[in-house]
Amino acid sequence: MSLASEEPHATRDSDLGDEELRARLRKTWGTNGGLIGFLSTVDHKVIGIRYAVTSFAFLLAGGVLALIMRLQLARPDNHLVGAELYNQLFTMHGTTMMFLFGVPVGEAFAIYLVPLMVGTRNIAFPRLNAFSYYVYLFGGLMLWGGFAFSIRPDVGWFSYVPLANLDFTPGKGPDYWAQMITFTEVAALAVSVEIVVTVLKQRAPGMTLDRIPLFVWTMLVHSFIIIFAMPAVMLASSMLIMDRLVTTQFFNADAGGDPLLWQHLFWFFGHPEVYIIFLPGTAFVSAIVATFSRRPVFGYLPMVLSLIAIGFLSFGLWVHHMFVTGLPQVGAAFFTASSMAIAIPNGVQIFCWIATLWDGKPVLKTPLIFVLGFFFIFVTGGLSGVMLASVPIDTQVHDTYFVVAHFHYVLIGGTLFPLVGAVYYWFPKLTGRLMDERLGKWQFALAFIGFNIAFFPMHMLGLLGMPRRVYTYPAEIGWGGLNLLASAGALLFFASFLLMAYNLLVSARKGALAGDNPWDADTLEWATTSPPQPQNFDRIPCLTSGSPLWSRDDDQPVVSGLKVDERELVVTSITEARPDIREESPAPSIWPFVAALATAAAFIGSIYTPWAITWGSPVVALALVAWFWPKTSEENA
Amino acid sequence: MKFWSVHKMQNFEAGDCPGHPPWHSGRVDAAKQKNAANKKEGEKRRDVEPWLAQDPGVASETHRFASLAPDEHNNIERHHTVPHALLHLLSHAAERARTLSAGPISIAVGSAALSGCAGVQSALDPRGEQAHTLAVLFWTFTAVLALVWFLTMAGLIFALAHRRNRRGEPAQPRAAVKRPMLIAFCVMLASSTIILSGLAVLSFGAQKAIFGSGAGAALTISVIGHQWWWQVRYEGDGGFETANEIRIPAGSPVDIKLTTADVIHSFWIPSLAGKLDLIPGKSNELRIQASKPGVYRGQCAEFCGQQHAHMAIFVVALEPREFERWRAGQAAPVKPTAHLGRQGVFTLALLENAQ
Ligand code: HEM
Ligand SMILES: [Cu+2]
Ligand SMILES: [Cu+2]
Repeated sequence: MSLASEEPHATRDSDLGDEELRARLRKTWGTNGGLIGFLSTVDHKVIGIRYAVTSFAFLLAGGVLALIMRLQLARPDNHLVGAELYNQLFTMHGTTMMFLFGVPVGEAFAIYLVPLMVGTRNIAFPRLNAFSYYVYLFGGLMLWGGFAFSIRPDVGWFSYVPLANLDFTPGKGPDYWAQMITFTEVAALAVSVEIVVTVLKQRAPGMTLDRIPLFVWTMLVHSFIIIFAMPAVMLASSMLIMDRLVTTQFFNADAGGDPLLWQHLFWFFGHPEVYIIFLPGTAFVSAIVATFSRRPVFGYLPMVLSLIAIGFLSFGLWVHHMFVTGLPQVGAAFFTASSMAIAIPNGVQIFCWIATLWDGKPVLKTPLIFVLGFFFIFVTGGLSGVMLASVPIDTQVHDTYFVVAHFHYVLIGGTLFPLVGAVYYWFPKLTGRLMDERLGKWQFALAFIGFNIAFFPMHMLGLLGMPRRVYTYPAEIGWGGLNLLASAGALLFFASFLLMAYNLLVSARKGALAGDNPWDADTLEWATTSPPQPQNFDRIPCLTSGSPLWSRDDDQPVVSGLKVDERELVVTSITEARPDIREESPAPSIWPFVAALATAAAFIGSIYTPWAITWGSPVVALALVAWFWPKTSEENA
Repeated sequence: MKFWSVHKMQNFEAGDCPGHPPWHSGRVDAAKQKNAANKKEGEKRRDVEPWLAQDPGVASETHRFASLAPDEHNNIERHHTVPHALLHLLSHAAERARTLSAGPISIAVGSAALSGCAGVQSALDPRGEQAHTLAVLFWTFTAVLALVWFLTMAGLIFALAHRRNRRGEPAQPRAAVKRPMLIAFCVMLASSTIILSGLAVLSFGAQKAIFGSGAGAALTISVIGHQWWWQVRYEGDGGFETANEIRIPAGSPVDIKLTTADVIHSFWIPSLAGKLDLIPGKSNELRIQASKPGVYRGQCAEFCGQQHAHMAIFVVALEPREFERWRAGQAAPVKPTAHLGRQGVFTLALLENAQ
């Protein structure tokens, strides 16, 4: 009963001294031990780390596939892997990188960092968060389990129809592929909703809209893009499954369907997807540039406006993936203009970061060095993107190795380099220990040189006429040398990640102790212990400026009056972050895990029979009932 | 403004490469083609083999294998221009190193391998009007964007160099916005808008030049995509078909009508024009033109299943008079030729290769 919460003996944080407060809050917010406790946790930090570890595992797996492809292509007329396996490899590589690494790794950092940066104790809808992780994990395991048992999609990461139709690809590969999309999309949508609500309603009092860290702004825009883009691909992949399973004919031209419908739906998602993967990279860059330039990022307002502009514009570009399908020329030209237009907000961002470095006093630590690598590589990829935006140029380079080079420059330069910087930057927060700087610089050298050797020659190969997705090429055509070079670079690049894995393992145990704020950074995650307590903050901070830690106010105001023995959060107003109400945050529960299991069973079963949806739904519903079962007052006491 | 020079053309007449079989683009029996459309994966290769071997006209991928004549300097000479020659020399050197280590036999094969007889396949080596316009546009974009890249990187390096922090100074929470930075910001915004608009206008111009529908070309050829070969149909009375090879008269525009019998493919002859997809339920039209006689190689550019990598096509441009003679000859039924056996061998090599 609600009266219980008003009883006078409810302990509040204002009643306790620092030591005791911390101990009691730990007990309230902690995760239980044992297997059930492990599977029940709703702590955003624990789940964020699980997301990160899982997505890095997929990065590694996808990377190994890429290496095998590069070995196959190192020589002309090579017999290392045949056509069939090669086609499976690039499909699995692309799919893994885009859906099982690229999207979730951004979510991972958002889940871990956003609640800390906005100064709250847990993410909004924490059980949904747990559920989303399990759904993502099961989706990834399904795809890779299928791969292990020879159910392998082999029609590329965008599964063009009619090749992906039953007529041309009989096995179950494309079904697994399409269903994996459903899994990851459910997970990504769930996380996006959590982030949006956390950012809008759970910011620390005083964190007005113009004091939100750029990292958090970026993740907010990122989440909105997911919310609007993902439904398109879920629709498309469901239509594909239905075409294959119950012979709807959405994409069959002979029966009045349209193969181009698939392309429109897929790329309406697919282009924003590129920004879904890239925006977290810019979030890392904003955080790292500010900290290591020793000043806030120049041009806060233009930065935020460009982010929002990118969010909107990213939905108006999809046709540039379809320039050679024979669309009307005027329509195509419109998309040339819009694709070029998005270079402007991107340019504004690059300018602001460089201006920040210019006006600041940069400290060249490993995180910043990786960000410098980002500038070099991402700008290259962005400019080759401007070329692809031109319809005539695209007719030459579309679907060639030029495009393969371009998107690896933007994906690896735009996301992976900042990501590695981010790992070096936030590792001390996660573990309390610093990573080795010397190894970090070696890793950078290897990665940077290896990357450019691997991918720069691909621009030339594309122009010399090499299409993408070919498992081999004849010696006479003269692509052998550049391909050999690219493969050698890929080996170097891969080696840099082994070095990173070594550095992570060693530093986690033997790294130098970091303290709360080793980089003297400005955002709130550095205002708590490393690693943070389960409650994140013993006392919720109140902001009096946009630079909570750099302003060096000794008497930083804090919120008081929250209950200590219950999971209470402060909910604030959207624009001014005025404290509004105290709200209880859900406790750990095993039901999200059970619901995820049931969902996974229904999704996987539906690949084989549509009845799985019918039988799966009541089970999922039961799990949901248990999940949302209202608490009794005894539990509350 | 020209960033490359036009190459000395090699004459790709049939007799030019020693050991090159004369062209045989015979009539393709419709029943034989059906075999190729057979869907079962394993069977596919076996099915394709016999009809390829029987009909020399279908096996025109053999151009590749026919090019065992050492013709290396010729090949290098073809690339007078800096960017293109550089690329080829690069791949050449590495190729060389590789073949050297593989023993004497492969040296012979390896060096012969680069012969120009395989046909040109490069967007940077334009041999027709469309590809030429595209290459000019490409190099213009490259020059402008390279300049932007250098300016950005110079800004970055100066930003780092001019005031490094070595002593761990405290951060400035409220950094003043300085006037020069505001001005720089405005300059950046204005110049990037101008540059991008300029490039967009150039792009629209080229688009119009290439796709602007002029009058229909004198010759229209239908190309029908199949997993994994190209059916080529010359319409009109005395119409006939070939496979994997299109003969056109040099110097005049030809319209290629693109449709598909199965999945999406993409028709691309980089030295002549950009690519265009073949899409079920849709018919696309692409104009190509070769300025001089020669062999231009292309290959399918949209992933279309297992053997996508082997879906090559050759455009053979002939002197107009020779083209007419050849075309007239096609009306007559094809006689078996002396080269049959040999092409069978080549085809087998191709198929083995494909596995
Ligand atoms: C270890 C570094 C990497 C190497 C050596 C590598 C190499 C390759 C190669 C050889 C291909 C196949 C090209 C083809 O046959 O068409 C490819 C495709 C692709 N890669 Fe990577 N890659 C790497 C990392 C990444 C990363 C980090 C991402 C994304 C975040 C990524 C995304 C993709 C995508 C989306 C495709 C297209 C797959 C398709 O055509 O369906 N790659 N990559
Ligand atoms: Cu796009
Ligand atoms: Cu193809």
